[in-house]
Amino acid sequence: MGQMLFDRSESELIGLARKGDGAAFAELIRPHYAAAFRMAYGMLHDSQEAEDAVQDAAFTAWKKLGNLHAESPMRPWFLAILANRCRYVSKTGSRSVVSAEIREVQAPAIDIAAGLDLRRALGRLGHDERLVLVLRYYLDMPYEEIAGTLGVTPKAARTRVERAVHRLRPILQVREALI
Amino acid sequence: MIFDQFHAALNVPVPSGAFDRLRAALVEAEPRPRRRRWLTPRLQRAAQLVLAILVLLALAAAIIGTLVAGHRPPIPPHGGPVTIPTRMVSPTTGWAEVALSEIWRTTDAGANWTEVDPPSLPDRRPQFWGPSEDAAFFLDARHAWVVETGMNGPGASGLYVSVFATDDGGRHWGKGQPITLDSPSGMSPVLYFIDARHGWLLMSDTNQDDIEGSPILYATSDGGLNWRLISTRSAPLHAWCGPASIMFATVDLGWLVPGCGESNPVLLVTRDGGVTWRAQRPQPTATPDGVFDAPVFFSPTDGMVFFHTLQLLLLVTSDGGLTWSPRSLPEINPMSVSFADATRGWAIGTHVRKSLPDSVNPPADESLYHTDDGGLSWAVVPTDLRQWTQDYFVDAVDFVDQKNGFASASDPPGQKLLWLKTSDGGRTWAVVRTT
Repeated sequence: MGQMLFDRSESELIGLARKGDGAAFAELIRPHYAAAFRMAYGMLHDSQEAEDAVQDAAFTAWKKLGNLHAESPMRPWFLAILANRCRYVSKTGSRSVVSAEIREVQAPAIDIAAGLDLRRALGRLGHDERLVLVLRYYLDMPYEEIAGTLGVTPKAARTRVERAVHRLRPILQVREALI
Repeated sequence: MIFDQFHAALNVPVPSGAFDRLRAALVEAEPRPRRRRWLTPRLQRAAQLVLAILVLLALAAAIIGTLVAGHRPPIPPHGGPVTIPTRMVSPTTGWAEVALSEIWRTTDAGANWTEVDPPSLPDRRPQFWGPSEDAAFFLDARHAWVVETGMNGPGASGLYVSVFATDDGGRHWGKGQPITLDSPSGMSPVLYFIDARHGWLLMSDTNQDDIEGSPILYATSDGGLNWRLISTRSAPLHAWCGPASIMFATVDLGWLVPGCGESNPVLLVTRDGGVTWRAQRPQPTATPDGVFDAPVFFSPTDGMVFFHTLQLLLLVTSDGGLTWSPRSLPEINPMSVSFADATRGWAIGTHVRKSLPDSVNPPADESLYHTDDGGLSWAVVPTDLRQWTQDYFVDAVDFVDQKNGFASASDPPGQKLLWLKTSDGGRTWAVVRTT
């Protein structure tokens, strides 16, 4: 079944998924799963919560698949749903961002202190600012795709990124001053 | 560099088996066959009758509601920052493209708006990445153009674009000849006009497999009725690397900013109306990572371009872009800068801080600066702007002449918007509209 689904076009998979075929919907998500997980991790700083958020977003997207325009790309639409899910998790989660990010330090080849500092700085930002920075600088999205995910114009997406960078910068400067 | 910092700080692999767990959960949750109906045919008919009555009542309520509410307010359904005009072309007249081919126009500085959409193509397709504000161009109070993408329309087979043009402020729109395309997916059309007749249409076929896309440039000399192919990637646009901004200072001199990414900032310049292009790399800083905005020209010789790194840099030219010189900007960030002409400009932003801010609330030390020598020197403008924007970030200023300007501001979540106007060069402001 999986191999057969793999051979189907996206429009065929969408048709099957709309009829309730979960495997077909999984194949629709497959090309975007890594980006989705990375985005969720960038927002939540916790691997398990990120995986859960992607799974919850996938179920929401499956239910709302009828809202996806035939000509619209899947990825920004799905990431927009995931962004809302991350916002919900951030608001209702009992953990603190800082404690979670400390638990997740696991990059031996990099400057761990710098990474922790950046994650802490991100944690001080609001959801929307953190989101645009993750999309831009972690998922390497062009402004047009960020715009598609946020539902704004590319120019507005760029403005939001620049504003978020500005908000991030003075927080990071404290560490730079201490070194 | 900032890309590397983010990748290093958030470096985490996708957990092993994560996608398989999701797939299993989705398969397990597949809906079961529906239960048989329990209603008898008679009860079904009764239920259908009740349903029909309810639908009629809902329709009547909707119609009455529409009549009572009058015109639809110019608040976009998606809540983005598009109650802010896309472009103010005079102290009173402005345009906004709030959604694909949904055009609004104001003649009272943004207080009230009228929808002036072009007629939609019967087979219109959305742009691949959603509506792009560059798919519409607003020249002055009367002239505007909107490009739409269609499939298999009258006079065109396959994918095509048509440009709609108005010369009476959107009351009437004319439709240009369709341009048939070979693209398998969406286009990212970008329009630019220098007067009522001369314009350019840049399109790039972008999809997720080939993010750079392939550029195609057309030009018109009859206001958008007919378009001729000027250049493609195969020859002159060899330095292309992604969707771009485009502008022209004259019918010959034009600039194109390809989306090559922060590590390869480049401008393309044409001096023959877009037939041939040459790459230009002004070096505004020792660390060249950043992106250029499209240049702005106030005459065939005098222009400027902004370069975005972690701070904003300004380059000016007085020889049509043959040479560029850096100009100073106030030490504020983030900065919005607007020049009404080659000498008079305004900049607004927050003073760069040396210590950790106590909160991420809007700053109290936002300042407005003015230059009247093209950026050689800047002076603080005594202004009452802050009293209107205490809970907001001022996102942008936009001056249409030496006295009249506008400012847009948003609250930290970016949901509430404020639109303000000044008529004395930024000293005093009044709120025109808020959401």
